[in-house]
Amino acid sequence: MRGAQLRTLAEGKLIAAARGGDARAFGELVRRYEQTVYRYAFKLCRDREKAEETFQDTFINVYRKLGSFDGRSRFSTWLYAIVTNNCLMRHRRRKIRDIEESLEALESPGTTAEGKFARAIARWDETPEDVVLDGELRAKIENAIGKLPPQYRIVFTLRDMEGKSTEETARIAGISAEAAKSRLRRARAFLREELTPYMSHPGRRSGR
Amino acid sequence: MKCSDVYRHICDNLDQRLGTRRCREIRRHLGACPECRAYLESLKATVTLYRSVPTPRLPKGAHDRLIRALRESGCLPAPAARTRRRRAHPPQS
Repeated sequence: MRGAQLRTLAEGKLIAAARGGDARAFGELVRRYEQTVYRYAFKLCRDREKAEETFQDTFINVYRKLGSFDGRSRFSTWLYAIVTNNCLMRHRRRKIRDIEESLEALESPGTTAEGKFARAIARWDETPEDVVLDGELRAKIENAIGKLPPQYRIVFTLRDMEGKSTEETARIAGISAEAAKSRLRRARAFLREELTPYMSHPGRRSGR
Repeated sequence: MKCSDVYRHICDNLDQRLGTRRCREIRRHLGACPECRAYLESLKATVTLYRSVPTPRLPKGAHDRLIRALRESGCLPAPAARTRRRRAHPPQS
């Protein structure tokens, strides 16, 4: 098949051709998805070198596992799951326990008998439009997302950065929809807490 | 619905556009509770801030390095195999 034909070929036919051993079809699959795979890998790994290693591992895995892709899920869902697994395998497990305990605390901030929050939830006086994404804030954001344990970072990245639905996020991460919702809730709360010193003025925090 | 219930369920859909009973209750609670409203706005701001950090594009040379890795892994044929009808060139080191 010629290059020009491949570029316009429907995804299903392209996958079928690649599964049948057509190297040019597989090369076209790589071309179509390489940016997506690298950028998602970077969001999970937060490191260019690890992202590129994951990127390479992913396409080698895609080639080797393409025969088992049954088309019941979307190809992109299957692909995201491979990237996710490769990132998890590469992730070092240090310092995860401490962060997980703080995420547990965010799950249940404690409430009074009336259901009000028992501890203060700091108010944000700034909005994203008010702040400049300077080096310091950017470093804080990078650091905070780097502190998230991988299973939380995966869900936050898929839902809030990649715009996947709860159901697709759950399928990619290999967890239930309820678990995906719970991890997203904790991840957002953790990331919010990390940015609170930059976004609220201490004298104006809620005392509730 | 209490603040603690809102805290547990607010994250599923930050815009609260779903028409479920729970979402209607959350919307009603938010209308009467400035604390929860402020919390919701700060969660939306959190997501906006994290999205605003640019993600790098595929680095220069990464595509070529991938193709090389795929060839070395036997996923793609070596270039010589694809050009065997042409005049043979000595392999480059």
